[in-house]
Amino acid sequence: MEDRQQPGTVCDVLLTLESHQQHGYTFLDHDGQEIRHSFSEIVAEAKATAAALRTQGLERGDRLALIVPSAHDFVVGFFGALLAGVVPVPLYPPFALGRLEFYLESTATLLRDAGARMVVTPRRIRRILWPVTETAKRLERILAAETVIGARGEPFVPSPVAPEDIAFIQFTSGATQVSRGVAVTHGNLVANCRCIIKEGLVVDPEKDKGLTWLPLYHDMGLIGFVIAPLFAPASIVIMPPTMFLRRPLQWLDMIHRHRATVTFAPNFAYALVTNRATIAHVERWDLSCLRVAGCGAEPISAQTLEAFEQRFAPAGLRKDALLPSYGMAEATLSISFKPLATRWRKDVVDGPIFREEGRAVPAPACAEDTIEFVSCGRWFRHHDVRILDEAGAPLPDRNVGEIAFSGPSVTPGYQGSRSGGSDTYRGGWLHTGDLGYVAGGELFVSGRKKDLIVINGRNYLPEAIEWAVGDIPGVRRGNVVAFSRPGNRGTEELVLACEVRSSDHEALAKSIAARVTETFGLPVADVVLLAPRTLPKTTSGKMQRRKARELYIEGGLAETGPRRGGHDVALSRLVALRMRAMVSRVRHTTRRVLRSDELYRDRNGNDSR
Amino acid sequence: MSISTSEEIVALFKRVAAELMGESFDAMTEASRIGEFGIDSTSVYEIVTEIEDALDIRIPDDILVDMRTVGDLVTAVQEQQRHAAHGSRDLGGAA
Repeated sequence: MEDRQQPGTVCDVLLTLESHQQHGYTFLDHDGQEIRHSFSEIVAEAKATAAALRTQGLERGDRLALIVPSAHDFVVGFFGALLAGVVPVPLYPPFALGRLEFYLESTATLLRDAGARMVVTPRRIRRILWPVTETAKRLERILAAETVIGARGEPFVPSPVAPEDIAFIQFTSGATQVSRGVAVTHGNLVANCRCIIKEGLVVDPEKDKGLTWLPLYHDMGLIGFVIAPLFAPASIVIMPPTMFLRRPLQWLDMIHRHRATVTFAPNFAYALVTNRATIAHVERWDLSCLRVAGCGAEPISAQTLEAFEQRFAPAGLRKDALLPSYGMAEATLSISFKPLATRWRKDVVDGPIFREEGRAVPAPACAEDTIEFVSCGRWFRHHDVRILDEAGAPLPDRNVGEIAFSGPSVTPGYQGSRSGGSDTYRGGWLHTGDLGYVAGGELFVSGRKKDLIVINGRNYLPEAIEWAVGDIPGVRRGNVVAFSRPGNRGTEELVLACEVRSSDHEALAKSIAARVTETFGLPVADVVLLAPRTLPKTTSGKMQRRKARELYIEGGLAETGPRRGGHDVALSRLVALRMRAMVSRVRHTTRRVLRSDELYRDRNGNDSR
Repeated sequence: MSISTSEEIVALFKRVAAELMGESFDAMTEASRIGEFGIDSTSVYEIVTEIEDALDIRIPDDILVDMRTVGDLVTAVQEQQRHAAHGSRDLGGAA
């Protein structure tokens, strides 16, 4: 009944805000400037943009890639495309240091996958982007953002948009596979945003204010802090991501200054600010305004949450503020949230039973071998979560299996040629590929299905092994990958690939193997020590375990032959100018640009004990 | 404003990186690739920002994208110092 009056598309919501002055977005820049645009102003600019896009020849259903670093221009361009019935495809701008050739190569792939007809980007990026026009087949033109975003002149003619229409294409950061374009419908967005705003956060437009530094080309920033706020409607403060990267503490400083009540970030960001903040900072801030400090998008460590809480409690951080959550682009954004007004909680389970039987049984207080999981809370109403065994049958509470999700937030599927053969969408359920369990109606995520290391019939979580190795001096924390390789006796054996800083490779490999063996009772078949930045990562910086494993098995992860850095650098630059030559080989060529003495492969077998 | 020498900038880079990351970067030279020393792109932003503060300059994000070696940073810093020197003269000199 209530639903009948609810808008069916994001366009409907935008048009109801046409004269809404009270709330809007405040865009911050590096120079400390703040520019506020009410929703009314944003909708007016989006309508003008919609008209300009139609004038450029874009038609309903056409894919339009957005490579727009300015948050204001991005928001206007995105909403403008929606109002024109055009499907925006947010892509990340050139960003990583000195990696232009990677950027052009991956952008061309994403443009092809999305079937983008045009790109909108500022002129300064268009200058370096031209090579993609040769490799992205359907791409006709690169439009200058300056001429279409917020353009004046043409009258806006509404385009008919239905809830089942695809609203936009969201590329996943997919830690274990290459990025895929998820088609997200208007109906998906309306359903998920309402869950977030009304049920998960219970936003009060009079009191709440969101603040984010998350990139808007990823789902957590875009849906969480650009689209969902329209459904309140509530005000949002948007910082450039590089403002956070340059000065991580600005995040908390801005929460304090703007009296923000809701923010979200991945686990790593909470660890970083905990590490950077001094007592002087903490004394300066009053963070009691922060009602929700959401945490998601990567595995959540209880240790990180505890340290953050402890560090910022003197600044008035509320005990119930930290809000672990679970979600993914294929589910639009969010699946579950920690309930409001309760403290986050962890589940301490028995290690041996977990590994041998796949059951998460609470460990007795005196137990030594335990594993901690952070609760990701409860899934939304009108949605369902099941834990499935290998055969796809539902498992009872506290049994570990694949997390499956159903409901109106589940997207219709992937776009593009690389989406074939996926078994993610089956029988009305989204098979997440994540492992987890349910206890007392709360969801616990324990790892990735495909990455699970199974040795001698026992399951090991790669994350747990990687974390154990991460704090050995000389190892780059967060840059460790654990996987298995086929062994001689028909069993799998453990391999660790670690990026390292130390020069004493032999000693380091020994201490890594020793740590794993001592902690997990598991022999290590091989330790591969690598120069920094050689392990494959996704655009959002997550380790690609499966990719690392493939490279290792092909022999591409750690070759010990002599390497001439200078030659390879020159080669990779040359290749950047010649886009046609940019096949997968290039990625390897550039990864191998290393000082030869940085690259080591040390065999350290079962005798490490 | 005077222009820092490359030795000064490299020394400053090493000091700031060591403070932020809690380890020594003694072996680093102007020719070193920043990524070789285990400094990831997120940390580079922090290091560059500290250097900017120390020298009272500001390097645009766009330039950071193209930075590979410590020498690239040296060039960028000196360039901004030259801009700042001109700019402050035009404005009648800032302290």
